[in-house]
Amino acid sequence: MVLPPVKPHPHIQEGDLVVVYERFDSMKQVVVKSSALFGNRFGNFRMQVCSYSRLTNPSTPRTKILYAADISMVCTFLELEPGSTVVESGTGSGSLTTSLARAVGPEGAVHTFEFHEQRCQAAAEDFRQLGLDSTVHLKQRDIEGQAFPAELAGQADAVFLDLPGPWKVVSSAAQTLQPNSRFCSFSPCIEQVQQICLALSGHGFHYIRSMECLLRPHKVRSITLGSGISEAHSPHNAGQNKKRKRNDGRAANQNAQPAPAKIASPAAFLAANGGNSSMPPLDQGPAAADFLSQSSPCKMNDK
Amino acid sequence: MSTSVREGDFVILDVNGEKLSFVQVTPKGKARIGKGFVPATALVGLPYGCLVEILEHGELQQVARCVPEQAEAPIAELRSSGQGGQAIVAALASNSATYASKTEFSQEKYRRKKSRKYCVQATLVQPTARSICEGLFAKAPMKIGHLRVDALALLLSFADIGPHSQALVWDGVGGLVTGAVGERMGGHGDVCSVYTGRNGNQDSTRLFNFPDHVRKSIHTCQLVEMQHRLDTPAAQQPVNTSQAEQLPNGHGIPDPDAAQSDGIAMEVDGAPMPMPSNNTRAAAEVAPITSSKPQPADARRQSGTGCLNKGQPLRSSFTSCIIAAPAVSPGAAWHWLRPFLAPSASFAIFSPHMQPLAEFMQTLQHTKEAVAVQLHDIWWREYQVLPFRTHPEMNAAEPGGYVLAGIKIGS
Ligand SMILES: C[S@@+](CC[C@H](N)C(=O)[O-])C[C@H]1O[C@@H](n2cnc3c(N)ncnc32)[C@H](O)[C@@H]1O
Repeated sequence: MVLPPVKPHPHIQEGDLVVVYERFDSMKQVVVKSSALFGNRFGNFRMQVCSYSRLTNPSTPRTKILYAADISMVCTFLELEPGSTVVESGTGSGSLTTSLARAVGPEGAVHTFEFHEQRCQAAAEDFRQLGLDSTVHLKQRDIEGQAFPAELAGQADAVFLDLPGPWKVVSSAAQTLQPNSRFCSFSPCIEQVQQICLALSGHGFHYIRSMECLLRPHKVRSITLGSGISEAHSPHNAGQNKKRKRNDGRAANQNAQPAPAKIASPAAFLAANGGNSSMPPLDQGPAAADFLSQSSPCKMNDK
Repeated sequence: MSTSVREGDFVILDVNGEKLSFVQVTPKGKARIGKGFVPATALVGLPYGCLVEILEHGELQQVARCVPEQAEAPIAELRSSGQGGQAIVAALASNSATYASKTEFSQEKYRRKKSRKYCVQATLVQPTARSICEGLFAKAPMKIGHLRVDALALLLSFADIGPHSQALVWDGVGGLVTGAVGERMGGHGDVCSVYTGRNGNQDSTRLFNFPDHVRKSIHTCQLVEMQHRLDTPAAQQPVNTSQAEQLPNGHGIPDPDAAQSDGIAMEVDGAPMPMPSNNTRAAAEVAPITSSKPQPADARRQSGTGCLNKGQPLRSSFTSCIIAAPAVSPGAAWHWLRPFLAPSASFAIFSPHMQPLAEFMQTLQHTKEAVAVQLHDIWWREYQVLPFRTHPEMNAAEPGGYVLAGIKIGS
């Protein structure tokens, strides 16, 4: 996720973390030191002359992390605004935490809890480096065992859980939330989703929705389509034989009818679903999916 | 965000979880719940998120949400105790001899039918980017260019919208995107909404109940005027706009709003929203999207904050950009807006079609004007989750459109 510094400044300064895109799609993170050299495949550069791009989330994942599609849905369905207070557990790599912090801004607060000591320390270091330490309040705590701290009761505009047993925390989440505010839990398995949904309706949450979201990346390349009949016999393209041949094996469908109208403009753009074999097919079953259960608690303000 | 309904607010009524409607709380407005009507002002003071129903004598009443245990009580008792229709329907179902033998599908149908009779209730939903987008989409997806809430969410993320951004928005879907950006920025930083033609239809921004400081941070700028200022040194900028108006044809600036604006006219239950007047709006005029009341010209001109000078966008000043104008070619939109983007600005472009984005992606790969360029299609599915009865919702998995995103690099 793209994340700018809390107070963006237009020029690179000493000690800044920057992301250097070396090519169209490969990137590197660098902390700027004027005395140091930046080396990449194109040689060594003095730091002062690097061109820069906006900061992106620099954590290497330490746990299963949330990615763009999930993050955007979480921020939108939690209805976050600048100044909101969000409570989160577990922090994990902090991937989502940084996006929550970006959404609530320096005017808001993210209280995030992680029970694993090393992850906690590593995340704290990341938040400090990103300049988020005034927005993100990270504590080491076993949330499933100890619940959220009592002093957060009634404080949160939103609660987010990414825990192995989120249903154990629902009652504490209900106490932490303000009336008519949002709750979201992220689980990789449908069984967890079922448990959390039952727990939610038992604790007065309403409008419970379970959803799955996915982004499928596409690559783009140009190909030329043939007419489908042997080049030598085609009446339309005597002069184009050489060029067409190259593409024939790949693109032409031998059974296709000749399509003279298309031959007139043989160059066509094709957006192919990008050869990314790790992407699940469109009709994947729930077992492979991640789920979000979102809801708002039913706490009536009596008149 | 106010926690309770105020006069002038827009409210989204979610009736029995089946229908979403917008109502503005004005003295003349009416709120419709099922077959009944109450004056919209009856909503004033009620907390957002609460459940209401119309009583037999036509009065609006806030009701408690049914907790599962109440389903056991006898119907007459439930009625007299004012428990609301949910409990009645649950009791009817458990008393029905045939209910248990029905299939899950017809059980659901039974409950729906009884609900319509005994239990027409509405939740007062606070208008937010999320709820407004879902409400508008449910009503008429064509009018918002088939921009579903998951696509909107991605645009906001990919374009890195948040407090302290400077956001340039080309909103060809009636103001929904401009409003969503305004909400995420909360008055910290400026939103500049580009329009073409005489007036951009940005009516949907009114649905957000923005406080003044947010409303003042949202500006509208005419594309022609922006381009004109870009080409002209500050000293000799003409106020006369008739020449500038010719630019679009010569330069091929499309005017999608002119073609679309009729279709996007909002109907809001109880309070039809006025369309922007057809008066010629001087191109130099840049008005924050505030109320439709005229304001002194001075108040409308924003003096030089980060990205605007006298209301006009400055070169290389925006850190975020969203283009959601399905009728405009992405390449053309990029051509016009690129000079205004700062180096490293994040941008995201929505289209219901893949082809225009794919072609533009290839262009960017050649011109090397951007890095981290990604083309995605968006997929979203909701589930019914119940013990032993979990399945995807029937009508889900419609195509969600495409988003091209990237980061502009310095020239
Ligand atoms: C899947 S990861 C969260 C990933 C995170 N959402 C992200 O985007 O990076 C789950 C985290 O919860 C932590 N965790 C598990 N049980 C916990 C508990 N009882 N209290 C606090 N944290 C817990 C784990 O140590 C792990 O780091």
